[in-house]
Amino acid sequence: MNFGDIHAAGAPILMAVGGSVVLLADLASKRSASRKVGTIVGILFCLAAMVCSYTLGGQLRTAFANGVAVEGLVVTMQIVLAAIAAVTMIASSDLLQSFHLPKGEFRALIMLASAGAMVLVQSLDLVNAFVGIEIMSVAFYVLAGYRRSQAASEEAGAKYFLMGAFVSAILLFGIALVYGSVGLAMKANGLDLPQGYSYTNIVSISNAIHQIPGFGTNPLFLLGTVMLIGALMFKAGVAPFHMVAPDVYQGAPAPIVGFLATTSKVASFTILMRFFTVLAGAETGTAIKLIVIGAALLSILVGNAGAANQKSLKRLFGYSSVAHGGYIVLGLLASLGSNSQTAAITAVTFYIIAYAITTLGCFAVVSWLGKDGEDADALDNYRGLAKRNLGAAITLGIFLLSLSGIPLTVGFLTKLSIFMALLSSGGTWVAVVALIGSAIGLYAYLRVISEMFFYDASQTESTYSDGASKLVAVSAATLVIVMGVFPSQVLLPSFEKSVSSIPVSGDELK
Amino acid sequence: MNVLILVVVVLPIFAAFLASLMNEKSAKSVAILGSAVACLVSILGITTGGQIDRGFHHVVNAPWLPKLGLTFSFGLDGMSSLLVLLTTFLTVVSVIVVPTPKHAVRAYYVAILVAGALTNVAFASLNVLLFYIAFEAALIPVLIAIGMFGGGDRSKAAIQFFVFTVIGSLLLLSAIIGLRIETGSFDYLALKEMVVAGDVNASSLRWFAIASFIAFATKAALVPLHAWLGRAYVNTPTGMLLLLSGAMAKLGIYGLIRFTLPLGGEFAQSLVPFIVTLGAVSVIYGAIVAAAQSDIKAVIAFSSISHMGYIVIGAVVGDDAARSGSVLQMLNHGITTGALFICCDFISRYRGSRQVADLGGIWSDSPLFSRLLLLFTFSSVALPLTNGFVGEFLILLGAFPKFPIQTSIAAAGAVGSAVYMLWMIQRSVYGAQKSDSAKVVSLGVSERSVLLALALMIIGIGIAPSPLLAIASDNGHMVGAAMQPEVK
Repeated sequence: MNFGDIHAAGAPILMAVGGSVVLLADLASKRSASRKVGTIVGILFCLAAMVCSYTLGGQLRTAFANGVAVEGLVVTMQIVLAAIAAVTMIASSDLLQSFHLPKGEFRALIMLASAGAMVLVQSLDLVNAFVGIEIMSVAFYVLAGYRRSQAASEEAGAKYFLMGAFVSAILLFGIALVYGSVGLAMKANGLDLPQGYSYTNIVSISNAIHQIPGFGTNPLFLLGTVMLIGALMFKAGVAPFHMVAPDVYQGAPAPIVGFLATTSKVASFTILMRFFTVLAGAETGTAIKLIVIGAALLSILVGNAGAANQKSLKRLFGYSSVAHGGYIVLGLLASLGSNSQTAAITAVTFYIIAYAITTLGCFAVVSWLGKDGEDADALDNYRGLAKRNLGAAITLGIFLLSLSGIPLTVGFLTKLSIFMALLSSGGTWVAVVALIGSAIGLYAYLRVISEMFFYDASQTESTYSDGASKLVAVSAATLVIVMGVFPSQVLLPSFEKSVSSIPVSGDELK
Repeated sequence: MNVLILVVVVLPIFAAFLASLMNEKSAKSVAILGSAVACLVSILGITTGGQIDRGFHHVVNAPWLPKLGLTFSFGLDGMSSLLVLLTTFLTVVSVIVVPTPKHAVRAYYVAILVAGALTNVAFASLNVLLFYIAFEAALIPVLIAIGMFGGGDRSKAAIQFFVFTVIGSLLLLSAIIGLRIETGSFDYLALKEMVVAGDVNASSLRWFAIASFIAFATKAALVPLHAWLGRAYVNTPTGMLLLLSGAMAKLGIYGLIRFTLPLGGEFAQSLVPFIVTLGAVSVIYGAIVAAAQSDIKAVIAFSSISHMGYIVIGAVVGDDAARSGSVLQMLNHGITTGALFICCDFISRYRGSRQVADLGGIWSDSPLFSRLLLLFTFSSVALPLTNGFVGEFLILLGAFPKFPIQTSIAAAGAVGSAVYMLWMIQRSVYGAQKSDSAKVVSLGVSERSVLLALALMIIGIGIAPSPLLAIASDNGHMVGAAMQPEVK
């Protein structure tokens, strides 16, 4: 271990240290005094993590005995993760007060979860990935059940914990199977382990797949891979592993849900992307493809259909996140095709970032309009909103149009780039099914728009106004429009340069 | 750099922005001013040439998202310049004439101005993706207008309209992405050249033809994809309805002429008999359903299906006369149906009902209005010396030699339309007044002048259609353009 190693892992280290500092500071100070200071310290650590990641640049570098690899994609995603954590802390700064919830451990949990997600994003060795997932998930379980006084939140936390623990075991088992099959096959074929790599390293797996004939269809390896992908899909909330997502979304307070939904998707999909680039073009890729298509289409249909008749807005967003997970998986599917990889990775990264902004915004609106320590969750709360609070109605309307993929919002461009990647990898009928799903989803989002704009107000009292959430929601809505009209100016140049440097095969990583 | 199209598009949007900041009274003036100037500028578009590229005038090319192949590429040929003119004209009419809703007046003007501007982007676009974006984004202001200011069934009408048309346009999106992957281009002119040269493989052309046909047929409300139309038209506020029925529905037919047929290759040509048959079915179906309505707004709405059926036939048969008749008929339908909807709005305001059974006695109450209404009805049933006659006649003339059976059926539909329209007028305008609560009908100044202007247009086009026909048929050689050198 040297300075370079520490620099490479600097972002997660800073987030973990920041989490501890915030926690200890909360212990040491009086509660009232620590309110603002804790948030500011937390945000400063997030900024430091962003800067640390940014200074790594787009160059590929490995650290910690090849357990960690950092390049453009990782840097981008770590910056996004730190930003999500900072935004969550800002959005919830007023809210926790009104919910009468403790603040100190809240910030610490956010930062630790973010640290875990960053470890996951940058891991090259599956064991590291597992460690990252566990750090992230344990914090998630606590966050999901953070409103202990509420039965729904407690239920969400318990369900999430039980399912999550079970899935972690599956993930570990999958990693073990991959380890065993790779090791056995390499020994049997007289292949040496690359210098400084272990059998669970993605580079070793890539070598095994591409150098040993027939290894791609090795049953042990396939089983391990399926378990691995399934577990990561659970973490990302993709069908058929989505069952717990709507409950968690409804039970937890809105800013926390926004954090869980976005962080888990960013982290899980990034590591899946890296894993898939290794499988691309191999026989395993072909076999895995069917599973991935199934999961993607199921997510899109189940998610959109589930959203269609929801009376609870948070539950609606829960199902919508399942559907959007499905679209992202479609992009991953395109990354399994050998000729569309760069386009697919760019599309998926763009989609994830846009989805994160939109989702954070949606949940910020839900807590902006909440009152008396309750989120504005029921669809009835939104009836006639345009007549009571036009700004909030327009803001949420923009997010909903973006989620439906209507032009001039960022949601359209992301959907466009996913479909372009998908169709150029030859998935025409898959795209058609996805389009049908979009139409169902459109109905779900339109129902909310219709409630807000097309009816007279059912209630006239002014709503509790949460300034911090309002700030987050309005900035996110502005970003959704600006990125939908001028993405090149805001995002694409720096981001395309960084994404193009992602190693597309194990060989390049060596 | 040719700014003409940019002015036509940007000015209304700028006016909408200003209107949203002002008080309600000045919002109306700003909206009228912005749309009127845009209308004048689009008249200039017909009489001047501008930069010419492969048959298109006023060509503009500016990058937007080069990575995605999205550019601001605009150009006008005869057809599109007439349609842009129609759209800007209807925008002016809809902000001037129809009384504004009681609440959120500014939102109403913003919706109309933005809808008009985006429709014009679609008509003028030479980039397929830009066309798609405008085609779909234009639905949002319509959705808002129906939902916020529409009739009793507005929420359902708005959602149904939006979902229906977006499903169609999602298919269109997949079709153009397919073309882009095959050819690497969203540029209309380049795509057309590649398709003509046979450089694009047949299967992706086939998919493009099918998917884009479904999208455009939905927009044009061709039977059996018309299901959204009835509830949407009846519930749309009149101002937006002028644009929706007069201009935006034309995007469907425009799309068939501009994209489906030229870019669909041979397969699209083989679809023509099928499309013509659907057109004839639409003519008959629209006539029958319209005859069965008791609400005069619904009668006019369903008669639109009938008229659109004609226009589709003329658009696709592949005969020059029929095609220019079809383009002319798009204008006519915009003017005539717009006028009828204005009359309808007027009747329902002053009589408090749109039911044929409640009306009657208007002829003696309001002589000028009744005579104008009768003229619009004549135009709608294509009586000679009105604009409708010229368009329908050219369509039938051009289509008959190729598709005698379908054309005969459509012509029979014309007789049917005369029957139900005149019957409706007879019951609702003549005779004694059937309900007691009615007030005296009298036209306001702005309504009177707009209706008179529309009437003059109807007669003017009916008597001397040739200048418009020349523009419509001259694919790219406009009145003033011939004098300008071609710049490549």
